[in-house]
Amino acid sequence: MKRWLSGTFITLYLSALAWGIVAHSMKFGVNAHPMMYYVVWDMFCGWSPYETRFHVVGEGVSGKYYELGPGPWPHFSPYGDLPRHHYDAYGSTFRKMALNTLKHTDHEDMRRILVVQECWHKKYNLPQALWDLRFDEPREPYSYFWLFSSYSDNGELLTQNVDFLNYATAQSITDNPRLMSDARRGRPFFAFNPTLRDSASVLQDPTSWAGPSLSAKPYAN
Amino acid sequence: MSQDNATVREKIEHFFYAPEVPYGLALVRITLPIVMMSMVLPRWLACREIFSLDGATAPLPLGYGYPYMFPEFSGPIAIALYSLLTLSLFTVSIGYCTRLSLIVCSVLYFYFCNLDAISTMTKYSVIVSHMLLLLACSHCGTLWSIDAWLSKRAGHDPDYTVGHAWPRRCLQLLIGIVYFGAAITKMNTPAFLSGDQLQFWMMTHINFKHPLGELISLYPLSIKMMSYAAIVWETTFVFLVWRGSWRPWVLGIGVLFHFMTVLTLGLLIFPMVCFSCYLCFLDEIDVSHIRQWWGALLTKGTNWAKSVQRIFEALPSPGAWSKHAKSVYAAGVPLTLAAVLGGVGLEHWLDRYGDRRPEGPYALKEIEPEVLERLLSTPTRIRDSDKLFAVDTGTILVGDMLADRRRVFRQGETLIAQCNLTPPHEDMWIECKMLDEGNRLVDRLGNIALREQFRSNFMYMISDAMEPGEYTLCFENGGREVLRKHVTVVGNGHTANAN
Repeated sequence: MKRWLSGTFITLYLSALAWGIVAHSMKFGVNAHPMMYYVVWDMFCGWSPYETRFHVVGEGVSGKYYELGPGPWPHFSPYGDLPRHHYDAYGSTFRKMALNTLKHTDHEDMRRILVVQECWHKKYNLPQALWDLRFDEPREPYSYFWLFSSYSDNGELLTQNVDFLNYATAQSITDNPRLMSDARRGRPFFAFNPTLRDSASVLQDPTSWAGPSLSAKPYAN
Repeated sequence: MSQDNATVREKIEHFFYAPEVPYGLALVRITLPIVMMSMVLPRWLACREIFSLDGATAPLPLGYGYPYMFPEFSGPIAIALYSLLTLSLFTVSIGYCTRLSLIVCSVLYFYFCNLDAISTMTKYSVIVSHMLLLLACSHCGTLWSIDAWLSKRAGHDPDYTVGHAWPRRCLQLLIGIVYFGAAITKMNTPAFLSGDQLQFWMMTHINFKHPLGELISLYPLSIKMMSYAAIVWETTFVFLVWRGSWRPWVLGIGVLFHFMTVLTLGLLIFPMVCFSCYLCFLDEIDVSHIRQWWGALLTKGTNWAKSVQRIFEALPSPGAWSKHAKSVYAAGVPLTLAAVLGGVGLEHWLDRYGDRRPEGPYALKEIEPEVLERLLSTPTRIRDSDKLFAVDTGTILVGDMLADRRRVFRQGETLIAQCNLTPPHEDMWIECKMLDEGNRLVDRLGNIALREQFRSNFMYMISDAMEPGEYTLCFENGGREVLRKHVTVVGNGHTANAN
């Protein structure tokens, strides 16, 4: 009985590991279930040339702005000295973090919660001594700021934009009159599915005929 | 039966079910919780904020469309469970109620990792979860543990320490498959093979400090060579690590590989997890060799070996504990209660959010006006100087990278000016102008750089018509000057010095 159980375990376990390899290699079903994260070994999946940070900001009714992420208590840094919220590349917790900070602090009423993304080229991370070895021009760090999302005071989503680098990539693609002209050909339709509205709007907003309120506005700031 | 004459079925049977003393797994059991403590203990202080309803959890299943896959608890319950996880790590390491501790540890670690996809769940925590599961299936607690002392004392058969090899084999296969999968990821990532992605990773400041990485990032060709070496090693690991003569080499390269990731990428915990996993490759023959080596050291009369031996001899013998077997195990219940309740009480006293401070809750920190002005500024397009990363000059291209970066060139040589680009950038017309000391245009070349390109090369023949002296390479994008690089041309009779 013990041998049968262990045999079954070995078979199932190695099958799961093998399935992870096959799914990952063939790019099939990788995101089918959270447990796929346990068998897919994609630990090198996109290191951008730009460093990214997030600023979670509260806009008070008085017009003052406050830092909501991290909270005013000693912050937790998981891998070095960066607070936790900087690791949230998809922005799934900013709303929760902001509301949690508001819940545990003394503050005026809020008008909006803003999440601003900051990006800078990683070459500016090089210390001056290393910079001088490779570059002739002076080291002048420059950051791009981009409204990632905004919420009402009670956490209701007001705007959600793609992240700055996706925006810049889309901009580099749409910076092509011939391509844009081709993309505009065809008849408009009403996209009931909001996902379709988002994905179709990379090149052209399919609902723009109905007015700006229905537009996906991926580049809006 | 000789392994050479065995059928495939018999070989597989022997591979998984050969009886063995689990030396390797016992060492993994001892070291893994120590490594895990480095990630579990810092999170205990922020447990309420990361893992409870009184904070901001980031469940992993949410991203897969399963938002309610795992229950979330209030602060005190989350802290109680997390304290239990911390205690179970300790008891796993010392081998006290080992299997039960491993089961508790496996379940709770899996649960907490899944509640925090942004700062707890990583691929090393996935590997740890696998390791805990496999250890829970093994007899790792029957050796070098409190359980072993107590069972010997109770008069059990000493052969009880012999188990089957399959949990160790699964662990060995796991690490091999992890490397194989990582190699497949790299093969599917063209920017990895060109070395560009690794170069950017070495300049990233989101892990621990890694100054050597920043230095190496200046030499892209060496990064490209390391990238290929890493892929070859990761792909072959699972096939070569079993064979006698190959094993020390493959594992040795693994140790070096992970050590380099500490220095160049700032990864600290991942290498430690992998090192503890490597201990599962230790078998009875290795232990026998270590014992022989140790015996030889003692025979030679080496001072430090004798000192260590005296410490071992000073430890109480298992027999001395024999009379208190039941009470040692019974003590586990109050110990667990004390740890859990003590953890909840301590966290309450520490007051994470400052809700019970005498001066009242914390006030929000106002953002300084100059910072606010930058935060709310109108977004700008990416600057040309950020689309063009750097310019290098040399004469030899290897793998589309300059192998001899220098600034001094002899007449008759071909100067290659390599313009490194950074995505995202549009299709660009890049022009490289060569200017002399009087800022007069000497030569001009232009290239189209497609949006997927990481570099564009400009080649100049340094002919005799070019007088020795200082020159400037001026790079323009769409007529806008972006970068400059200074080079020196020397006459035919002079030797060019590498820079």
